[in-house]
Amino acid sequence: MHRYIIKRILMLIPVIVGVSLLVFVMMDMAPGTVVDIIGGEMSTEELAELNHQLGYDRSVFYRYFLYMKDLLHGDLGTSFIYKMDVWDLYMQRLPATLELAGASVLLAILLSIPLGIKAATGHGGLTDNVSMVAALLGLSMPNFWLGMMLIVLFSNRLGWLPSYGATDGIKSLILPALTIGTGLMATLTRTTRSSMLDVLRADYLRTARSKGVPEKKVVSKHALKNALIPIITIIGTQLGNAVGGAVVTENVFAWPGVGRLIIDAINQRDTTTVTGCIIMTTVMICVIMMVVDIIYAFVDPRLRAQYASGKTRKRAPKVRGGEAA
Amino acid sequence: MSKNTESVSRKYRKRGKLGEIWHHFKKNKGAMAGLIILIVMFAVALTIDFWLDQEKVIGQNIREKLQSPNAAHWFGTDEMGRDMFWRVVYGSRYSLAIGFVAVIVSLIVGVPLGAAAGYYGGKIEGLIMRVTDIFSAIPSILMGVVIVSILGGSTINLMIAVGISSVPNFVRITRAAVLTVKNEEYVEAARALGKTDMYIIFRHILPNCLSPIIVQTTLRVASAIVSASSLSFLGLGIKPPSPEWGALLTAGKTYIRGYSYLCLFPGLAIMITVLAFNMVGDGLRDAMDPKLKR
Amino acid sequence: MKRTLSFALAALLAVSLAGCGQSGSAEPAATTAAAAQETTAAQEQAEQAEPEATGEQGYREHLTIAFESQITDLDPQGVGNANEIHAKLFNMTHDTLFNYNVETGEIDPELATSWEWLDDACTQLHVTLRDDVTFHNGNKLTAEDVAFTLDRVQTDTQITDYYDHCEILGDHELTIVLKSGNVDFTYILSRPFDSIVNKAAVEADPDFGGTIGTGVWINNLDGYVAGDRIELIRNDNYWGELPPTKSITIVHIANASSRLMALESDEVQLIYKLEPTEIELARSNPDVEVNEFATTRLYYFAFNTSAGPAEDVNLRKAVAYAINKDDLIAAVGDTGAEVAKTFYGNAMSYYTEEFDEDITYDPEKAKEYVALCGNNTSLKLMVNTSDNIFKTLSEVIQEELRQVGITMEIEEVDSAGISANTRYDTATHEAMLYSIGLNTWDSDMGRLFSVGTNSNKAIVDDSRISELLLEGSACVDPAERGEYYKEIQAINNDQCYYLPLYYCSTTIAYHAGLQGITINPTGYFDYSQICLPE
Repeated sequence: MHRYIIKRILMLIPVIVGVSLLVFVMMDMAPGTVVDIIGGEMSTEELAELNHQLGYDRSVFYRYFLYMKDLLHGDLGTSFIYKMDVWDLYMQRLPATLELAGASVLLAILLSIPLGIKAATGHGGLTDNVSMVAALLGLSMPNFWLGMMLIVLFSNRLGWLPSYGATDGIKSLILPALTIGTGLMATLTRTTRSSMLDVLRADYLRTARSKGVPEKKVVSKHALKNALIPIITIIGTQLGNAVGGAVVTENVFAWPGVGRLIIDAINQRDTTTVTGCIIMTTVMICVIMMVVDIIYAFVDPRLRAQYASGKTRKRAPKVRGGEAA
Repeated sequence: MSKNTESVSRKYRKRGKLGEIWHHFKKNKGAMAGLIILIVMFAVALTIDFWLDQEKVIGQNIREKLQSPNAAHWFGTDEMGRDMFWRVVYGSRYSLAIGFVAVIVSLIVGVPLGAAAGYYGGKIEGLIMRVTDIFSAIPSILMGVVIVSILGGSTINLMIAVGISSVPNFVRITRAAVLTVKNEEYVEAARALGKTDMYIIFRHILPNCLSPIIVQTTLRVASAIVSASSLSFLGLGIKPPSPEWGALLTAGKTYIRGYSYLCLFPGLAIMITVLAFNMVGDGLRDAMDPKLKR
Repeated sequence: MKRTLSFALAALLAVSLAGCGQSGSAEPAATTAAAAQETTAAQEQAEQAEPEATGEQGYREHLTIAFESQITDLDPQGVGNANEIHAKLFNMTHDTLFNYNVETGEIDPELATSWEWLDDACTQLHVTLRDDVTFHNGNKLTAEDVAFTLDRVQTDTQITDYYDHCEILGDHELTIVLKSGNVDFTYILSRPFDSIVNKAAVEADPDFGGTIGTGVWINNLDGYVAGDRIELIRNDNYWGELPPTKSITIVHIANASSRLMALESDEVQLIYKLEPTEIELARSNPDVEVNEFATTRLYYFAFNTSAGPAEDVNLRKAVAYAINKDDLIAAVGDTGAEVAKTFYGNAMSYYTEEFDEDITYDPEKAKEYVALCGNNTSLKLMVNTSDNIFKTLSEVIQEELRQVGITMEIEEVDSAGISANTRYDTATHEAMLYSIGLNTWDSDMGRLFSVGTNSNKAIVDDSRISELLLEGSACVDPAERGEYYKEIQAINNDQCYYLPLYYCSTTIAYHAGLQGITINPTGYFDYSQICLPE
């Protein structure tokens, strides 16, 4: 297990190097620099001076090299816009993002897994059809549109819930979590149903049934356990996506999360902030994936044996296309 | 088996397979509904220039601005007095085109990379998959924002932006599919006959990986339409006065309280289109996936 | 001569009054309501004036204000934050030497108790400071701090073009020496970006020392989430009047509809800039008061006059005659907007509309000018996507130009892109739409015409205008000064470097009964005395 964790961390290094280079190059190619944002009404000479101070008179690779040198010392750089350490900025925003990610994924788990199981066991029945149509609808709605409509309905027309920010505890969490959660719920219900269907048809369950094990127990004890792996994969992926910040939803709800910070920073060409936040997101996703892998090991003893032998390439069974989208 | 008989038999088999897929697909009511919606939309989008006066779509009439839906303007009018119904209908051109071209972009880039990774394995695979990891570490919206900012806002650039951000998906799907067939006997046989790698990949491997790729393509068109509208929503995308749905939503969000129909109809249009693609995609998958056949 | 600022005055009467002094007797709510009748905006409020407070009046301890853009920097001299949003914050947390009095248009004392120009050329300003002012960290305000603050300004051309050095004459006495004369320098120093900071604090902590001011409100850095919110705590050692409110949170809500919803549900108590279509909606809510007033923000169309198709003055004139400014205002739904007839600040002293050639909407005349352009009839317009108003304006103008035979392509870029593409020395735009919040003193026009600065979006290099600007700012005689500034307007009207479109109006909305807001048409509002009787 330790070897596995170390290996994953080592694999993270080239990804971080690559991601940060990509961000630097992309930000460099975008029109304008942070100097254009903060140099609103400066004269040509003052702009040139500021350009020099911030290193924009040198090539992007030189600036990247300087950044990486700092990164080696654990320094994520300083934001030119907010005049703060990027680490501090990220940490200011992370709690709100985690809160939202956790709430929406939890919402999805609590609703989708039971629904998916119900749909699979009653395959072709009313619950199945209704929940599948609902899931498809949920999957087809643009996030931001749903968010806007929820705000109009719940905070504007009915006045039940706050429309912005993270200032009102649980109450302000509900609408954004629902907005993100709808897509997650749709995906998770579909995954649960299809992987349950696969398992329910498997031979060993037929054997169990023929031995007279009651259907309820077949589902809860045997089927669910075996259907769990694709479900966990999906949850892991979604949690990973959510930790990166739900850019659009955070924008609609003025949620003080990482996604909004990244977008604001891109708009202001704040390269260090964008890079720092994306590096941190990459690290977070890696940690989540690691946890997911460890959970696999608990769920499936065969996989545990694999980790122990140090073979990490083989991941859990792939989820069928589309549902991972 | 001689070359001739081989190709003949494959032809037959292929036709038979297509027929079988259609047979299964037909039975799926949702998928058929989706297909019909899409056929109608395509018919409208392709022919609209022949029967609709452009003036109806872009002509402004400030005096008729912000009318609620009525007999003359089914979906009401926007802040410049343009008829929302025709704008939404005309917008289908942009959204469908963006969805398709974007996915074609990611197919062209993603499939060969995924195939190479799956087929060659080893260092090539490692490299391709690491680069894919790097690209997928960057949120797709972000990628879109940066690409559109770099290249400037235009329909083509929006397509490229959305397309590139779904490349990693196709790389992964293709690689996984190739892995399952690359050790099949017919591939070994082709290799033994000394065929080039290119020949083997395009002639033997990819045709046998088509079903997951086709399914993924259909579903990705759907999500490309959503991504494109999200980018428009964040203020990047189509040049005015083109009535792309995302752009209509962005313009409408200013009026969401008093004139919520300005947001409602373009949003519904997106939802119905995406739903149709998803239903067709689901239907195709069920029809193509041998596991679900009874 | 000064154009009346009646719009501002009406608003002022309604809102600011004497604030809600803690020490003095509680202001009866009815007085406020009576004054508010002056504006139609607040009439509903009068009908349901709150019952008079009996005895000691209670105030809400904590208030929340929503800003429409981000606070990125708490330091008044931070690089790149000289905008309306930060001005509102600095007005609360810091003090300036002088206070611009919106009602009289004159300069009032603030940290300075008295001042005088030592010479006729206006190059030496003698200033005496208050001696009872302490910073939030407990240090006393001295002349040293003032000199340090002015020396600290590096990137603000309005200061750096004129300011040379300070001569400290005592603890509370100094002379500000300028490179060249500027009669408006006291006005310039009244801007919130020239708030005085503490030398010792900045030297001890270069990153956050500048957040320490002498103002009514103290930045609470523990409650600061950069770009999202900042908490302010009342400074009980303030030298002036204190509001009864104890703490304030400023939050950022970018979407105007969301801001109004937050106000309606009492999540926030004060917002600025409503969606034009939602003003009526807000007015119909008895818990919300709405004030609509004209501003000095000028929306304009700028040509790149030094390169590209718009070098041709005929094309510029064709565009000028093709634009119907009333339609633009109708399209953006800005009912209180005022058509701009000259490219000049509407609150400046020497505004004039008397020109030889009256440029108004005239498609026939536009076509005549188009005929003079030959094949040069297409133009690319660069538009900032971050503001919907520009998008709307550009679409209407596109259509109007199409009517007279000019093809205009709209190129959408974001803020950084537009700024990069319109830098004075490397400009690539052909034309652009933009807006500028103008100050009330005439020399402020220099920002738009001075050669080599980034805000000269028309890339104008007109030697006569430069000369006039220099002479105007150093000229003590008001009549003579007026002639200079009027000539600048005449030149622009003739050359059409910039096309003035309109001065926008804006709205402020707040919880019914809220007091202590000082509205300033420049957007530098003062919220420091804000309070809400309960």
